[in-house]
Amino acid sequence: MIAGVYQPGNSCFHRATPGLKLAALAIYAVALSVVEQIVLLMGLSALVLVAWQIAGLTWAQLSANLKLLIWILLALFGFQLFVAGFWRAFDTILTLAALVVAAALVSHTTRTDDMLDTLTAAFSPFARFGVKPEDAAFVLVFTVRLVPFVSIVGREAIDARRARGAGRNPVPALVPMVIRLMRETDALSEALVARGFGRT
Amino acid sequence: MSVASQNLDVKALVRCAMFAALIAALGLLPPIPVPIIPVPITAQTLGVMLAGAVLGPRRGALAVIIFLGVVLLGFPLLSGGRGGLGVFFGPSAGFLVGWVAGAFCVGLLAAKSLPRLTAACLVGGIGAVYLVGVPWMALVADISVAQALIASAAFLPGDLVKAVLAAIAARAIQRGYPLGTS
Repeated sequence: MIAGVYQPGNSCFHRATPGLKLAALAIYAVALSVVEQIVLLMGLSALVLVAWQIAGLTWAQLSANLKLLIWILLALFGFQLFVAGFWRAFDTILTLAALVVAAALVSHTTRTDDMLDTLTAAFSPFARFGVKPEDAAFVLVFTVRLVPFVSIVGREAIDARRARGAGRNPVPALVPMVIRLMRETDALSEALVARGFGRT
Repeated sequence: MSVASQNLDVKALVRCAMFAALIAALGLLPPIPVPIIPVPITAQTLGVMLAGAVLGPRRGALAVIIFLGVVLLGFPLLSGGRGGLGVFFGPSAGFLVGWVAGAFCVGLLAAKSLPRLTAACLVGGIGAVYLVGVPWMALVADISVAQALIASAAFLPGDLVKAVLAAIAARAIQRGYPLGTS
């Protein structure tokens, strides 16, 4: 099973409802983009680091979140330094980094189940378009369960090609892999219908 | 609703979920560094284009939406093991959202011939994705659209290779498992 990014804990962030956290994140995002004064912006950004500490998350987790982003941010910084000057460049990357860290904080402190329930509730107005929220929630969870299965099918397809002496290139293996996945889909959906899924 | 049509509905939905899982599984492969191209390429966009080509426009787009929903929930299924709300706030988040439009356009333009499929993957898998991703990046990163386009150009060679590969794979899948036009 694939684990989510949730980090267990008992801070006030862990105890707050997902809806409250998402609302706070939205307000924080608006505040970051509205604030122009660099000192205020630095204060706002520092706030998210304080929150990170309060939530009991580690600096290693913080750097893991920024690991891939840092290169994009550095490139952006260099670019803006050239066209718009130091402070504007600083402003841009600080805003982006603070936003990403704040959003990561919400994900790290919210159980996947709770997030699913909140999103399901948030999407219930779409029921009138024929999308049942609980079906949508089921499909998301079902998809997570399918990922290891798809990986195994992919590995077998690559192994089968190697056994025929066709090399290790994974792209041609995609073809038998997808065809087998589509075949498995037929059996899977029959099993789901037999268990009452999709009945109105 | 009759049992037969209900079965069809569920089958279509499970196909979408299966493709969403395929996009996720392709992200578990390590990013492939290519000598001449400055950025490593991920195989995930291959899955996005295949979803459009094999499932059609609406279901292909749905498969991508399901995948993004799972990432949003906090499962680290984006290439590089990223997941959660944070990925939707970065400067390149528009490209992820653009995948939905990309899969839709690939499905719309796809037909049962390799040239048509290649055109579909180029227009949908690159054109539509960049159409969302580049202005989004310009907005978030506070740069002009032209500047964002130049910054994204580093990914273009890899994306071109992937579009052609996706078209070839999609044609072979069509031959091996005809899904009809649905």
